[in-house]
Amino acid sequence: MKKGILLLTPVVLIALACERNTDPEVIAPASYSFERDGLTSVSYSGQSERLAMGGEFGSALKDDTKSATDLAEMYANEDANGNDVDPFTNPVLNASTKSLRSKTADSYLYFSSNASEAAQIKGDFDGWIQAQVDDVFPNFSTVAAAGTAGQIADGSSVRYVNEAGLEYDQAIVKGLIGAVMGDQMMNNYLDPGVLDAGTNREDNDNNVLAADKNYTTMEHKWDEAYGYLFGGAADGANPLGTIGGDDSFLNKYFGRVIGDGDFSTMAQDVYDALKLGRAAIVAGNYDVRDEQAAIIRELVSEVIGIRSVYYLEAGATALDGGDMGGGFHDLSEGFGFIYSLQFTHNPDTEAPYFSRSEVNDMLEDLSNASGNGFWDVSTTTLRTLSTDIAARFDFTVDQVTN
Amino acid sequence: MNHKPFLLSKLVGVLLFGVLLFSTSCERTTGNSDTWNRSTMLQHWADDIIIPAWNNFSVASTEAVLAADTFSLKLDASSLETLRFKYQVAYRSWQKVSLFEIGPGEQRNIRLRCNTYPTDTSEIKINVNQLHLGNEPNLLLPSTFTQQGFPALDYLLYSKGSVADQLNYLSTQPGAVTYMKFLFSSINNLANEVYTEWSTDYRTTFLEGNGSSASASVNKMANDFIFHYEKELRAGKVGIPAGIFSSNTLPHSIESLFNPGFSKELFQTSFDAHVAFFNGTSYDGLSDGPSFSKYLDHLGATENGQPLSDAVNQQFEASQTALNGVTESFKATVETDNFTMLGLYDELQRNTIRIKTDVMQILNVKIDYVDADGD
Repeated sequence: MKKGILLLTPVVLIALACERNTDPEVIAPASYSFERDGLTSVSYSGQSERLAMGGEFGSALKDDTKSATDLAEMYANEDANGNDVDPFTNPVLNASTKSLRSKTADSYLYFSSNASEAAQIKGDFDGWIQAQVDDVFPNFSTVAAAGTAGQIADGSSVRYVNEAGLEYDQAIVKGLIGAVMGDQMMNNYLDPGVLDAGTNREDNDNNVLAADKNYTTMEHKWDEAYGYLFGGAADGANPLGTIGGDDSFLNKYFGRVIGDGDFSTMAQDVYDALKLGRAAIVAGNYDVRDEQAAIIRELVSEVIGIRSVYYLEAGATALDGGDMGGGFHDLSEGFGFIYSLQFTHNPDTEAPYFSRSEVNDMLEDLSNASGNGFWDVSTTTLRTLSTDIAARFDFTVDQVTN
Repeated sequence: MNHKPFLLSKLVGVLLFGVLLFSTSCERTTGNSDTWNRSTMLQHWADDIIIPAWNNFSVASTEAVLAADTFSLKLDASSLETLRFKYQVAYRSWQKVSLFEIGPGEQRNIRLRCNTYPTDTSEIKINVNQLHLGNEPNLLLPSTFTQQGFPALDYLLYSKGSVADQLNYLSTQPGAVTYMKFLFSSINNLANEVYTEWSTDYRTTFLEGNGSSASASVNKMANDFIFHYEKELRAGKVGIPAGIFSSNTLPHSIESLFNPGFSKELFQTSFDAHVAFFNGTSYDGLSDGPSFSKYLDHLGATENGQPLSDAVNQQFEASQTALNGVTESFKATVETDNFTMLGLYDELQRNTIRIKTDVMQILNVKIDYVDADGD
């Protein structure tokens, strides 16, 4: 017994020290696992479904047997008249009432009173889908050239680009990272306007559950934010072991970013903040909750910024080395990430790191429409863009490229 | 470190600092400032190594085309044996130009067109049938890179094994001989175009790029050299089949899959071309001239007190020793004794790191490619 007590003492001391260092009232559990009456109170199945829809949609964008209608129905999970359709191979997704399009530029904070911009953004995606079918699919067996859509070699990979060198599928998938996953997470589910809507706070304080559910509405909103990053993980409570491989969206790029020694803790940091914030809701400590929301918003925004810079630099390097196909692929990914910057959230300003009009200006420079698009875009222009982007964040171009 | 000349530029100082940071156990230093005559080196490269290599490939691929024509008329065992021999000569000659894609070769994606493997046998069968119907595949399309070049010819010339069985296949499969000739011609056309351009305009362009900017010829050649060493020699020929980049070994990803007994020889030829280029050995092997190794010596680059060029060459020798333990068939080695293959990979990898970081930093060459992130 004495031995046991002696062994316990340091553990208690460490625990006390930890408590004092963080917050005396809220302790995050070891994993994202929360229960009420012995049953889980965590739910984000809608997010998992949308990530899976995005996976099928992303593949279909490169399948030239698909029509514009097929692709539009995968994006919206309904037809043009709003009727139910079954566009997916996975029957669970066909049965789902969720869709990617309905959540595009749909956050409470940025778009609840900005319907016109939301409509423009949905229109951007609709336009890219249509252009992929109209301009690129007919040229799937044509060699791409300046002014001609078609195939181009990127090492041993084959890329399909429009007449300016852009891969629409990359623009769309990387654009969705901001317009759906990032926007919903940062500007909707982590926003006090959503978390504290109606009687959410009172209900959460008094343990009043959503109808027929095992969670309070506030708990669920937070989980939905979690689901946009970790909703594809096989082990949702401990998702870091598979980070990068669980979807083609935010999860994938958190995985990429932590491969760079300068950013190696970002996934752990965002996971810890999501866990602590959820524990804070259980504890009714809304200051801690909002502190964690600020950390998450900054980290998710930073991943989008880092990848924008990464692809601009990689594209410039490839073009300088004469590797057009590799360069176009990087710039196409970069196009989508830069597009996503308008959905980022700077906790200090409560606004995106780059506004929509700033993003459009950058995309105009990148697209080089007055010339031959990516075929003759100046690599100096690309490097200027990357420097400008990094300057708004807490990282440098060197950290991204080294 | 104490012998650092007083007049070293700030840049070299920073560079040196970076080098020292990278190597905690070995000390690598540079001495002289850079007064190396790049023009002389470029001329030696072009006239004594690169252009003779393309000339040889142009000739070898022309002879293969002629052998294919003869075979198509005779369809007998002896002309098939001759064709296989000429194919092997051309494939070996290819290994000596693959490193020199810079300029006209790159414009034509010649490496992807001549040597993308593993080849796609099901698409080749479709092409054979389509060609028989009169539909010529467009070999310029990147999606056809896995259906052409030497790996596709390897399938057409060796997939059935013996000369008799292969002869039976080629003479009974409508379209197969036509497709085989079509592939030889396309290789030959590419070879002739690249050789012609090198002998005329591109030689001038190459020699005029005698500066030290990122687009200068030495900088591009240095990048192409390490890229080819890392991706084609180390990864493509050894690392990928040995399972370095996958959870299992991939014996079917070797070069010369249908004639695996030829794979080691192809590797050896490519490896020798790298060693020769690094040291400035002429294409005919009879003379030598300015090179990366002599450039490093001129700069006084050392590693652990010995010339850095010696360290690179010693590692090449260690790689050769490892290669000597591998059987003629890389496929058999991967399948039965992959440990030996991994040993070869490790020796190759040691020079990848040395060349990519130390050599490039001392030559003040920035790496112009990034590892694709795989999506």
